Amino acid sequence: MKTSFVLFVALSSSMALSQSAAPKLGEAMAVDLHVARVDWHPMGKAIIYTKKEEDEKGIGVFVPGQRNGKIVMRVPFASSFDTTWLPGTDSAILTMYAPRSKGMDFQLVLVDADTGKASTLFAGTYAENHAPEVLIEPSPSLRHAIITFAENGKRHHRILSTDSNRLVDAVDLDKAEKLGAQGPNWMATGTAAYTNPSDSAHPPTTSSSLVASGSNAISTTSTATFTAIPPKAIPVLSDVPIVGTLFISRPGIAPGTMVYELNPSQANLFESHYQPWSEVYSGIKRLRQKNSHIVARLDQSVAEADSTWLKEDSGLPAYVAANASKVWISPRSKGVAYLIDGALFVRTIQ
Amino acid sequence: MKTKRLRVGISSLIALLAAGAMAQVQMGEAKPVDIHVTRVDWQPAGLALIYAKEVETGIAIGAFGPSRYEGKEMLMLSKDATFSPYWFEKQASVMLSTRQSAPEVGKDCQRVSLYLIDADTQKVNRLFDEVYRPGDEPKVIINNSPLLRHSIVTMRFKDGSRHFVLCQGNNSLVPCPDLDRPEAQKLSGPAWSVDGTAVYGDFPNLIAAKYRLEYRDQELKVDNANAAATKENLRELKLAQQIRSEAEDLVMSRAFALNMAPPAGTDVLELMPTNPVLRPVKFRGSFKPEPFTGPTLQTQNGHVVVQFERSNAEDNSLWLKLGVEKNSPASMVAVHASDAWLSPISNAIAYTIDGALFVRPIKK
Repeated sequence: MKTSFVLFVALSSSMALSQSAAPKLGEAMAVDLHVARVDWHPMGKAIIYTKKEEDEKGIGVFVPGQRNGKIVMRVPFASSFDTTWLPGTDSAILTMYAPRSKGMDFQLVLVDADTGKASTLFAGTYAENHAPEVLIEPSPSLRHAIITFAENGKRHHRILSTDSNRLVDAVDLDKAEKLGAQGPNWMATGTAAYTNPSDSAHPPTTSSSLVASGSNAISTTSTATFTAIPPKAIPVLSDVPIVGTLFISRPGIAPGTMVYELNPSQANLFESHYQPWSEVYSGIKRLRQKNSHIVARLDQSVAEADSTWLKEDSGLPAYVAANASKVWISPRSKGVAYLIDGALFVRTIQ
Repeated sequence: MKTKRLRVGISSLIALLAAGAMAQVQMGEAKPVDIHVTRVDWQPAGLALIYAKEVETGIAIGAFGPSRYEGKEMLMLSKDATFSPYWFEKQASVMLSTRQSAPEVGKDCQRVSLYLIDADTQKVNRLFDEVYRPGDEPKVIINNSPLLRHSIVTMRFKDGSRHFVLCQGNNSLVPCPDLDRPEAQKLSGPAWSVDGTAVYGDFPNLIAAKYRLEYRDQELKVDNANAAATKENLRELKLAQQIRSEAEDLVMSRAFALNMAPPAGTDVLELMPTNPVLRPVKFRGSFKPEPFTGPTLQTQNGHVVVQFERSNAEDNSLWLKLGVEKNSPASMVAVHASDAWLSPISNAIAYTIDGALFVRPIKK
């Protein structure tokens, strides 16, 4: 009996020791009211959220540490949008659709969460089901993206120039793609590289479809076929499924290979030696939301509520809030956003 | 022994059933109002509230009525600003007197402003705004009608007073030189008639007033119930107590004024609420505030231990108790609420969670 008790204590202690510490949460920051949806920056740097206003829908931004969220634009209730973050910055491109009586408005909007400003990159009105399909491929480090428009069976490219808040036609890229160039592969500098079509060192082998990030993203199928990524070409990205939604599989190119590099400000292609983008991710926590029931008492009165917790699979949980109706954990568990009676709060995770 | 235990058990059961059967406070859904809120002032009939929120540039004053979607910022004040709300008793409107430094004009200059905020429509009108050199700023005394959306504003300067009137149905202050006359003739007033109009007259035996003031921020309480104060000793009392100018204004405007009305039939000067002139009339009787007959509610904080797996966390909870006894039935308002403001007639409660302000209606 005594032995089993000692064994139990020892087991309990070892179990306790094997559990990692509970995540440490910062103070709750009140962000805005009547929030319906939150999109976290992939590195947890900021959020974009939608707010139900009386007559329309507000799109707001918040950077943890700022005083509160800020509505950067207002759109009709019926409009929908997808968010593509530019992960090296606090900016995102919103792909927006707003139905009209005949047709729909289509917009690309650049939102800067840090400054709380929104700039329209592209706007057009289209007949129903005729809006272009768009693929946005963000640079991993620059405020720059390659945007492929598929419209009436034709494809053309524009880039978000690093020089300005506008799109620049990428005529070189259209031509190169027609000649068989494949990409983008992201270079160490955050610029895009495309294979030289005449380079037989990268024969297309694997077919792949391109899907824009975001839950309701428009998808477009590329006509290009891609070589499989060599296991060591971008080893870290494949280990992080969340980030995988941002960087689409592309043909692997050996470092030092001659490629076409896309000038991120002028959109022209020039020859360059390929140096791949790489990023080391360490200590990524995978926190999950857990809920438990609260029974509160005051004298003889009893009331019930819910509590929200965050925990790693084998870790101790941390208490987040009571009566949170919705919870959004940032992709790398850098922060948690939650709603209490329509009010949005954010807590950073240390 | 067994019988005794059984009796105790039955009595406990009866007590528990009785407690369970006692009506609890019923509340509606929580409505979010605004964030970063630090202070709330309820309209006396719980029709609306105004609140102060911290913003990067200073203090924002917001307004909210139960029919509104959420609170709305009405005006911005500097960080050093002070403000005093003077609610109308029957309308969701408030006169807000503010003071803030005006460094753009000169060192130690003071900007004295007066706003009319309609919390229900979430609209604001600036009624008065002047900058004064140090020491020249007036004391602002606001007397609101207990019935009408009508107010008398007295600016007391070192060398005299200026009177203004917010006429019924208007959103601006009108100068009222007629009101200099009662002051020159040392007449008392305003007292408030049954119609909500202001009257002035010689009411020496009614100066002795029962007045009670509870200043909202709880920093200051003046409680001189049944004080037999004459005009002179009231002034001395005020000085002696060194109450703040805002509190003095409040004494003058609400409790004091309500309690000094003359008997019906007395010859008085009545201020026309729509046209700011005085006219001699027979007093039709004094305004009598309706006594509050609602349930006695009080807020109370509790402690919550939150558990998940083998982890514990602690939080606080806000409750509303029906009655004042220790075992009065209570309803939980919210977990993690830090500040709470129960409306004066207990028809709603405002509270903050991490700076976000919520309001829950209380069902009768």
